[in-house]
Amino acid sequence: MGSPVKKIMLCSSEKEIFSVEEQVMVQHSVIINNMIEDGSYNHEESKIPLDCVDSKTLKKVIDYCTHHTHHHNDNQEDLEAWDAQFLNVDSNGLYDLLMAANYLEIRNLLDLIYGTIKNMIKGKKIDEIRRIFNIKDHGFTPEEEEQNRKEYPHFY
Amino acid sequence: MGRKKKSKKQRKGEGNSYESGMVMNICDLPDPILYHILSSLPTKDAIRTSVLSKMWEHLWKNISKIELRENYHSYPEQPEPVKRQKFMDFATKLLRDCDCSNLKKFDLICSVDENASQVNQWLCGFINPEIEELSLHFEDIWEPLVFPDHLFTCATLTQFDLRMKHIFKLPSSIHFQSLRMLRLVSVIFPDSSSTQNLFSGCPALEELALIYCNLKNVKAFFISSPLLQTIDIVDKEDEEDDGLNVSKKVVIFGTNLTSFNYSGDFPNEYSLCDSASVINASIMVQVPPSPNCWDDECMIYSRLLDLGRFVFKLLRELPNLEWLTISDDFVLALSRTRLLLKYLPFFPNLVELNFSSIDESIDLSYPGLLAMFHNSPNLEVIRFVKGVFLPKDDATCILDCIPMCFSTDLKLIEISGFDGEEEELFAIKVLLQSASVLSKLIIRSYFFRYNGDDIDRGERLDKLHQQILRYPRRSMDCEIDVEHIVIG
Repeated sequence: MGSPVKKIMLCSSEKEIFSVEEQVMVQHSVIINNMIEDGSYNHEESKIPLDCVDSKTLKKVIDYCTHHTHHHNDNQEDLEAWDAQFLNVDSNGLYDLLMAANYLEIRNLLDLIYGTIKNMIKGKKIDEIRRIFNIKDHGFTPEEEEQNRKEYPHFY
Repeated sequence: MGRKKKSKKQRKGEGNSYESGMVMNICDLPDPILYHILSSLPTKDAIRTSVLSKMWEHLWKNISKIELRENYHSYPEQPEPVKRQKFMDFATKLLRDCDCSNLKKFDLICSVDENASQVNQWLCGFINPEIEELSLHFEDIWEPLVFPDHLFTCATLTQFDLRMKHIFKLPSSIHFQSLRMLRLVSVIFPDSSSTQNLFSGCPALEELALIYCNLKNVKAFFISSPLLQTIDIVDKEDEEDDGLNVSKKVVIFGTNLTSFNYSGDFPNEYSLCDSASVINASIMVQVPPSPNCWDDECMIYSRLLDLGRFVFKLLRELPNLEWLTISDDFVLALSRTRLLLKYLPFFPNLVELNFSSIDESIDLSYPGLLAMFHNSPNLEVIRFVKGVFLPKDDATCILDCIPMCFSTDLKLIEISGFDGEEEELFAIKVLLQSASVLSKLIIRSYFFRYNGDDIDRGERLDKLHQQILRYPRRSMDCEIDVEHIVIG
């Protein structure tokens, strides 16, 4: 006890450096856990470059991991409320988060995002899904679209 | 198909410093992620995305999970035969359009009726040789269904749940290399040797459930999967049975078994072997209320003796139990077989003992019940799930010879389904007089809102609570809670 908390450096696509508790990332990210375990991360000089994660997204990912490390004993309801608030982002933000969680292999964040996207599609009509995901150009020719609407009227 | 196509306009003013200048949307996710999302959706929703956008048109065909449920596939406005035809057409079209080689999980609930050949085609098509999870529930089967042979040698299958009231036709070669969970409901086993083949062909099995399975065509078999941890058996006498069927023998070798759950009226003889690893058991045996014998005292007595022997043999193989749940008939049968009672094994590790039953509360003076207390010296918790009573205000049954655990370990007694009858109060009185280290007694009373007597009943319970608090207590720090639970 009393020893300083071990930190690691993460570097976003904009080359911004984030210093995070090692334990927080090791617990959540399979990739970072592997880097620490196999010794490819040097605490003196290394920083982990995350070229495909921008600063805004990386900050959110770190927030998520930190909260879930320090509050894993909270009751389920509180955690779910926090998660819902955390994922209250537009579909682009959700996309970025998903790609980052996928890259870093953060299982519980991935499952959370998958679940959110699933609920955005489940039981909804096509027109509604298109609106939710802002799909303006669906790529069907007007004839194809008309044919689909005729053939599957209950889908729309 | 260009995936990085969305303009930056969409994100204008968001202050995001995305260097590449590319903004992508959910539609542009990499295929593996899209397949994952599509596969997590109900099949109907996944198929619907085929008209979402040109890019998604064929994506759904690679889904890894399909669930086809006739009941849920309803068109409420249409008559039954039309609904039925729509379901059949839907499933057949799905089989044609979908690339089933990607399927990992297949879930089917339907009635078969006269469409056995079509259902057989689905089984053959949807169940690929690399399937991982299979859940099949068939109703109204008139002729045996034919499962593809490759299913029975599938190396990837981990979960198999089959529910059908018909003969399960088994091939001669069975090897489920990775099967961890097998659940068979209402299945009729074909014959002894195939059934033995089935259970010998599951070397990785961890969980097994045999629920209402029919053993009429079988003489005996054994289950000896070395990794088996949990076994659940529900065994009921066949209602079409002519009464001439002899009891079938099933021996379970449980070197790694930790949990054993049995419920039923023991038409077959399940027995345990090498099962000292079991720490959690539930043995909910009942004497069947058969119309042929219920007025025949002698018949009931003979059934109770059989039950006593059945239970006794199981208990002897469970010496290291920590949690045990038993039924009222279990206690009654033990009570009637005094000779066996004398040889009842000890349960040195047992910490929790629950008495449950269909709806009867249990008689505290039963010798079988007291013997269980006496033979469980380290018991900490006793739960009377359906209540407890004592026929007369006479504490001698326990007080004459107090079980050791009552003086050393018994901390908690829970009595549920309390009605406030005098006989129940007698039992509570005796328990309080005999348990010297008890720290808590919880009494739960349930009642239904529609009876409209909640106010009277609440007051009555409060009075009873006061009365119970005045009873002499062997353990001075014992807390007594009376909970009032409204249902409905």
